[in-house]
Amino acid sequence: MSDLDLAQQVLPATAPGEGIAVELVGNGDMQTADMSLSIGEAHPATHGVFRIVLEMDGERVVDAHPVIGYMHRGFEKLAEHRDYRQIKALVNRHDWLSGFSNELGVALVVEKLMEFEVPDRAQWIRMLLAEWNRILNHLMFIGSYGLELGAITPMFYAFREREDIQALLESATGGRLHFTYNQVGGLKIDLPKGFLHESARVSKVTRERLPDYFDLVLGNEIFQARSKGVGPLPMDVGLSIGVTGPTLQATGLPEDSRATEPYLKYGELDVEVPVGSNGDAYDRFSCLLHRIRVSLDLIDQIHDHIPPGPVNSKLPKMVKAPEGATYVRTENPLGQLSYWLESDGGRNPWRLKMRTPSFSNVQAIPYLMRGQLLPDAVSILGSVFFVVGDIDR
Amino acid sequence: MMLLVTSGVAPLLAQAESLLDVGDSFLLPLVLKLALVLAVFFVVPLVAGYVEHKAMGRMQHRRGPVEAGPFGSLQLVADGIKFIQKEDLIPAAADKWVFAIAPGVALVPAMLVIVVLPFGPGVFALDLELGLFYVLSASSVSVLGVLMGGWASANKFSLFGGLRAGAQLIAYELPLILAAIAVAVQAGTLSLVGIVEAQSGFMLFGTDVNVWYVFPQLLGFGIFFVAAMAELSRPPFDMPIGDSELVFGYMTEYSGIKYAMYMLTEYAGMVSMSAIMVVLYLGGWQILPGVPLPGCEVGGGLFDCGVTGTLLGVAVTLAKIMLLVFVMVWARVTYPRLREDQLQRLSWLVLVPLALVNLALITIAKVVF
Amino acid sequence: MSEVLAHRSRALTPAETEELLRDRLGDGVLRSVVEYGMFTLWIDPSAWVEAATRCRDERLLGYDMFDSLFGVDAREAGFDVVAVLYSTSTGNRIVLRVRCEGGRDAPTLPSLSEVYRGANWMERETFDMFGVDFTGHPGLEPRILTVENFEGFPLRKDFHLAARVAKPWPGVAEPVELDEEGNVIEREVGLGDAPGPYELDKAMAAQAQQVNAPPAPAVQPEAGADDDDADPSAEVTASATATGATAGSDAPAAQAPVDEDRAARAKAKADERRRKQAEARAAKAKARAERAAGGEAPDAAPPSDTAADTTAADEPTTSAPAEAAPGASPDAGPDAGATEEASDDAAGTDASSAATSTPEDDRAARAKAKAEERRRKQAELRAARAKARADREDGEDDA
Repeated sequence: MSDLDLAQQVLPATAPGEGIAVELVGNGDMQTADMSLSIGEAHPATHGVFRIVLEMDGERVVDAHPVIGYMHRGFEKLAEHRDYRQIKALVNRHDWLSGFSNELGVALVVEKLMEFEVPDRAQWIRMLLAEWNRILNHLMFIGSYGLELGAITPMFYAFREREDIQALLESATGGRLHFTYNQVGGLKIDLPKGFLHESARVSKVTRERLPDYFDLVLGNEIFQARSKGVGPLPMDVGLSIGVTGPTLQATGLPEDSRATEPYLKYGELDVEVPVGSNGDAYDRFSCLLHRIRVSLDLIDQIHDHIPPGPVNSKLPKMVKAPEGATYVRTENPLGQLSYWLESDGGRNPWRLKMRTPSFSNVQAIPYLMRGQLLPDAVSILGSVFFVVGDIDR
Repeated sequence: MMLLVTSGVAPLLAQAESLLDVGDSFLLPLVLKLALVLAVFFVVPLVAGYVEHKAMGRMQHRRGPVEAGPFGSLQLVADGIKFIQKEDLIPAAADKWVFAIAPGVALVPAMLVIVVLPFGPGVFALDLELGLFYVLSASSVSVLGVLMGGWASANKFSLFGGLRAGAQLIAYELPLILAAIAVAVQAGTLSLVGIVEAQSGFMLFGTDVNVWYVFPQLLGFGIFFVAAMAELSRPPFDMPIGDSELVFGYMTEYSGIKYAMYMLTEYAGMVSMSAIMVVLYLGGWQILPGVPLPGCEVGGGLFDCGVTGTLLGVAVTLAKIMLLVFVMVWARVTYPRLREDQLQRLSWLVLVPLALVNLALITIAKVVF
Repeated sequence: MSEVLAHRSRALTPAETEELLRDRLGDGVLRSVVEYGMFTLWIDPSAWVEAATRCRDERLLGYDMFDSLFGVDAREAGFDVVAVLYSTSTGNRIVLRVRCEGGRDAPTLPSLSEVYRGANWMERETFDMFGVDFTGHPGLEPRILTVENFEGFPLRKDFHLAARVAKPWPGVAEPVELDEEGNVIEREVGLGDAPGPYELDKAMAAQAQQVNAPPAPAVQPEAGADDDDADPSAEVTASATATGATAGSDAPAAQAPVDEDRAARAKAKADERRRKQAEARAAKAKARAERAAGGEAPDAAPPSDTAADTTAADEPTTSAPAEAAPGASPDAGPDAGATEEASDDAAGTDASSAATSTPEDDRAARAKAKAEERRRKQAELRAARAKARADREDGEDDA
């Protein structure tokens, strides 16, 4: 007896559109129906307003459709109505965990288009603060990924570290989240006295606490069971989608702007790029953790390199960029952040395109989730690091 | 149910006399026993919850509640008051009656279990000859409450949670029972007070050292502990709740007093499971193996203790219970949650075979020694 | 684990890349631009997919990473689509740029979603923002970033930023409104520009003239802005009438008999005030000219501040009789603001003219004259509005 006959015998005949549609899925003896589960906008698993609609067969995900745009604030349109000094206050806010790196990108792109020289001291200090910002961002995701899996403790440890670093950055920039410290042509003001000493101290303390994460999280047997083999991303698929950052490095490709296309003074430093092997959630997390260590190493190297000198150059009263377009790529903590700045010679940008890492990383999620179980789908969601403001801008 | 047990069935199955069997009347012991059960049920889980808040807080580099009461000790009382005054929401599509009684179905068995648990020399409501059997079977009824809650909520997340809970709780019944049976075999009785008594006279195989059952049955103790945590849906086995995936699993749609009932079930379950473990493996109310409680004369220093002896016995039992609760909290804080299939695999492929091995070894040892 | 930049040694220069692609695509490659460290190839729309495929598949090119794809508004010619590709093995980056067919009305382009997976969402976003239709795309709808039922395409230059239309920046806090010396510049409102504050003032002035017209059945100004209206000033006028001047729109409707006494009183007061201001201004100008001839600069600032104070002080007294009208405060607000900055501008120009040498005096005088003209017009407008308020009040009293 075929499956179809069985269905027609057991169920009363329903006309199309009438009653509940039951499809025979998988094993022909059991009649199950596909269910559509919306991991909706306000769900504990999605940090921020991000929605995924999952088509489930029991606990298995058949397909996933991310729905984005809930946090679309129109940054690119707003940037066209502001002048070149004002856009840096805007771009702080799309990836709010890496405010400094975003501003850095936009300052670099404006300087590139204006062919503006930035003093060395400013470049080194920019690198220092960008690395601290990177550690801040990564610590946040270490805490939150554990939370996705049910480990409630790493969050508190990560925030303890973040408090120290945020106090450090606040002493220099005045902000804990949105720094507005970069400027076209350098930095707003110089670092406060004693900053480098404090930075060295915080670096030492963070380094001492780092083994806790390796033991408590990465070495945790249940954590490994939940993340190894979950959501592997092949390298060529990742490249074709445009995935960057730890997500791409986990697939085995050491593609990192600081190493391959150095900007600022990264060419003079020794940048190590940790890679994974098969791009699963464990590798992504492991890359993230190792990147913290790499950033601490870079910070220690930068401490020795900062030259004295001015930190900004005098800007003309009207900051105007010449006609033309340019593209700058920086390594944001989450991946590659690029800005395309096109100018028509006026005071506002004609087009400022923000190519954000989270937009491309999230595009990989349907590919990763297909065929996985629901808890694994949530684990994948936490391991593809993204910030919702970064996706939607 | 309690009335039935304590009044009708009791004389046929009871063994030891409870401390509360005072006087000749029927009513006074009944009232006292009810008071004992309710007092234990409503107070000790709150203490366990307080231990959890504080210990969890300290492990997470923070202090835990400090505002409500001295050192935050009345936090859970405040929570209880908060829950009572909350609006009782029932989803429009929910199956109203099932939705309403599901927390009760989960809660009442937890209360019933406390009837037979001894908390000190003579401090128990009833000592059934089939005590262990009664405890294990009564605690299984809570599964129904969870399933009912998950189904009746008319919410996909709750349904997921309920189904996962059903699969998980059934899977972990088996290791629990097998480990408990090994103890019963060792003790030769199913009565809980009898098991405590047996431990006071138990000598390690072939030696003259008086130990509690945890030593020869360390494996069984471990299995029982893990299975107990899974039965209670405690992290790392809280897939049915899974609050990063399923919002709050089968409890998603519950608010107010019904939600408080589910939470009380969890904490009361922690307390009762810990109490069972104390009785089965940790010697009940004895301070140390071979050391009788001061003031206890009859029955090898186990019964008929004076006031100090009884109070000390109760204190020792409660301390051991809280120690086990602390270990459960410790496990919660450390581990992320296991995925459902990993959980099932752990139970069927690891715990059950080990429990059978444990049972076999104990049986052999019992016969040989 | 593979190596990045493994083939950096054999990376092609831009010229070589262009030659290779011209060889493969023929006329598909229109021209190339190397500027600001970036190599752009302009591609013909018909060869768009072919170009991307070649970039990906040619062994020497090897652009395996899809960087981004987005649109750029190209004014009257339509829209451009820019695709950025990166090669992890050679470290080269190429920008492919194409002008979509169909102009501004129906821009269209073949989709790259078969070539690079990442193009899927990028093209959806470009469609959402610019309205470019990508043929062959698996599904451009539902709209990815905006709401599903959003009308219009936000990043087009003729889609006005609603916030700027509803409420302009007060004064000239926006640096783009000032030139090198800090003077306010009159700009041509071009495609994509948000209307500045003076367009709104002009609009209000024009509408006030309508109010002042003799009580013939006046045409009711259009309430509600029309988004598709390409002319920004007309749109601004429409929205300004809708939002700002509630008093004005009531006036033609309330065809009540005018209270001659009240109107006459208000008019007389306005005339008196204007006269006083003109006198004050003349006195100040004389003092300033004397000082400029004497070569003193620093005192220029305080008198202009007092000028601002006096004009501001006059404000409440004129508004007092019309205080009962609910429309008083919002109208007085932008008015006070406008006069503040007008007088500040006058102060600014005066200060600068006092500081510089005498040949600038005629420019200063011209600027001053312009400022005074503006002030007078605003005073007239205020008087008109006061009258209208009085009319409406009477209309309410009678009804």
